[in-house]
Amino acid sequence: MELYAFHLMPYPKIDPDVREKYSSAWVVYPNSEYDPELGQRLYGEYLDQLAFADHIGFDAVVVNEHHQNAYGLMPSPNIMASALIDRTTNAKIAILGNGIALRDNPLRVAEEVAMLDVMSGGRVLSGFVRGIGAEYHSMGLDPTRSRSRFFEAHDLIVKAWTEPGPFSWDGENYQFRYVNVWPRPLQQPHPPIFVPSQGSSETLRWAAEHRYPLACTFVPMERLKQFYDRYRQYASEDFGYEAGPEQFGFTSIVYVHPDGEEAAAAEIEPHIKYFRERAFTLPLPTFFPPGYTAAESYKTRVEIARELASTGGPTLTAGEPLIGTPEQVGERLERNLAACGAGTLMAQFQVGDMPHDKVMRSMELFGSEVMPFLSRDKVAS
Amino acid sequence: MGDIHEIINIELPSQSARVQRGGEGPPLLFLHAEANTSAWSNFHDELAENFEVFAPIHPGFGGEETPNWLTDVTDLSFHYKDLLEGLDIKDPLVVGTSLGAWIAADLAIHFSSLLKGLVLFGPLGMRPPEPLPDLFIMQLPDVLSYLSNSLDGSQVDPMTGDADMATAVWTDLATQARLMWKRNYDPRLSLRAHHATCPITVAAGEEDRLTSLVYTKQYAELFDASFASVSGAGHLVPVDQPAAAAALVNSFYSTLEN
Repeated sequence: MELYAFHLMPYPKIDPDVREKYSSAWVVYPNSEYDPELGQRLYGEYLDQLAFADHIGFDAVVVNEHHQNAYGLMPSPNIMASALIDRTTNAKIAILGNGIALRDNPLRVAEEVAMLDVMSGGRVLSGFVRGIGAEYHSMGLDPTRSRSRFFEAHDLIVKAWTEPGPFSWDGENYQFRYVNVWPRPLQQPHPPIFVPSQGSSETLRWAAEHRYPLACTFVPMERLKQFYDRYRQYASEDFGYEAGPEQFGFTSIVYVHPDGEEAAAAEIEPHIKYFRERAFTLPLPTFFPPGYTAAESYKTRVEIARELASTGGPTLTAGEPLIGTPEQVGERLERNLAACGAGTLMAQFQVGDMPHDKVMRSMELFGSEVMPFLSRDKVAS
Repeated sequence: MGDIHEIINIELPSQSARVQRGGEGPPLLFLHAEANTSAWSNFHDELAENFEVFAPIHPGFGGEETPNWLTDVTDLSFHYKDLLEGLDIKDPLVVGTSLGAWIAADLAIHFSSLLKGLVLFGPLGMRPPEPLPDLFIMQLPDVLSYLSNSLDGSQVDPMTGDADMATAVWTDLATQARLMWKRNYDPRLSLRAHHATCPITVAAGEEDRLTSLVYTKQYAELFDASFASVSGAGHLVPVDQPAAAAALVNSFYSTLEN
């Protein structure tokens, strides 16, 4: 079992009327609402939380990329990864991920991740994402090119990391006369690559083909099982190998409280509500702009949007809620991983507007009362 | 939906094209607008009373995925030049709405000598003085309300309306995104407009919410075209006022030399 500490670094002072006044916490939510002095404090606290995860023995700390929003304050995940290098000792630094399709020059990602890998002594895990639809509004990028750019940027970056330069690249989306990335990554042949998935067959098959672990965020357990089963099926039927639990990870919020489940749930509830009702204020045309997916996938997204509207927002828990006493959380955590055959839990301790002291108390309890009793050596089977 | 005489499928160098054909008379090429408005309609019926109407579905519209070869409006001009040749359509009157009018204007910039004239309803493509409303970030019912004062937006609300109709509007917008996401105009249009030497008329709906009357009048001036406004119509004049739009086409055609 691997434990990653996942963070969104949200802005905790989103207007309570964001839905009515701005319709979105993304793209058009005015940046005059951002207070840089509060922002400075937040970055410090959030980085301390991830450093503490390393201190209590987490296998990795996780950063990610989102633009022009109050949901997650890491437009450049590589800057956060860099800040984490000196604050952490053993934990891997998982960038889940760089929005490679968003870059007009994907070699910039190849360079930055190689720098981070060298600087960290080979501790980088390199996730690659297309970026959600909102990023295409923010970056002024035609979403109909997103998939094609993602796959080509991936191929280019991997080649830049693994084949001697200089070489030239003449692709549909990117052209370079000279590809010759300095520095090269420390890990060979390159830092491990992770990809997220929202379940499209194309992505699942592609990830299975490359043996890239799936890192799924905010996917309910039933869907996780479907995604993983399809991945395993592609692996065995099309690519001739059995995909193990180390190839599957997912996020879940974690909140540990000494007084039990009711007390824990009562304390975390307002922060979950904040996340769902404010930070996740993301209208469908912003989330899924025209051309971001195929028509069939759009229809699926419409069904999901209807579900979310009736349930009050995205689920932050996959499987049994990891909210309760240390004993409850530990047992459920193992059961959740086993239920879908995953090997990695990406635990999200900070949720919405949860303040630093609450996060730290829960993390301390997790470190002292949960982690020692987990079967860390075993992976789910 | 009115009476279509036939659907023609023809292979072109770019891809296969689907063309709705109806009516008898001099040839008329109708280039449709966005938001799932490509099907044969009352306006087509009105036109078919006096013309042989060829109404192709643009590549990537009408439920088709955005084709890889398509990068800009000029790609469509060459696609339609190939279509005119492939179907042996000589000297057509070209009528276009919104995006379709932009394609028509660009077609005339490149191939005026092949065309009888142009009727442009609510044309896009010229650089607007102020940014146009962003159709791509709007809820789908709002998209329709910016385009038309007669289409029922509630039907295409993905949350409460008909999911298939919502998807049809959304997939049309996808190909429009390919053409208009970065720039919803072509900076070259104003440099090249003088190459469109066939007779042109431009019309705008008086209740247009997408492009202003000032914009559309400037468009007419750029192309040295006559200008008319149509009352009771939004941006998609033939959708909102099919009879008035068809009358405008007929009266423009009557001014052209044979």
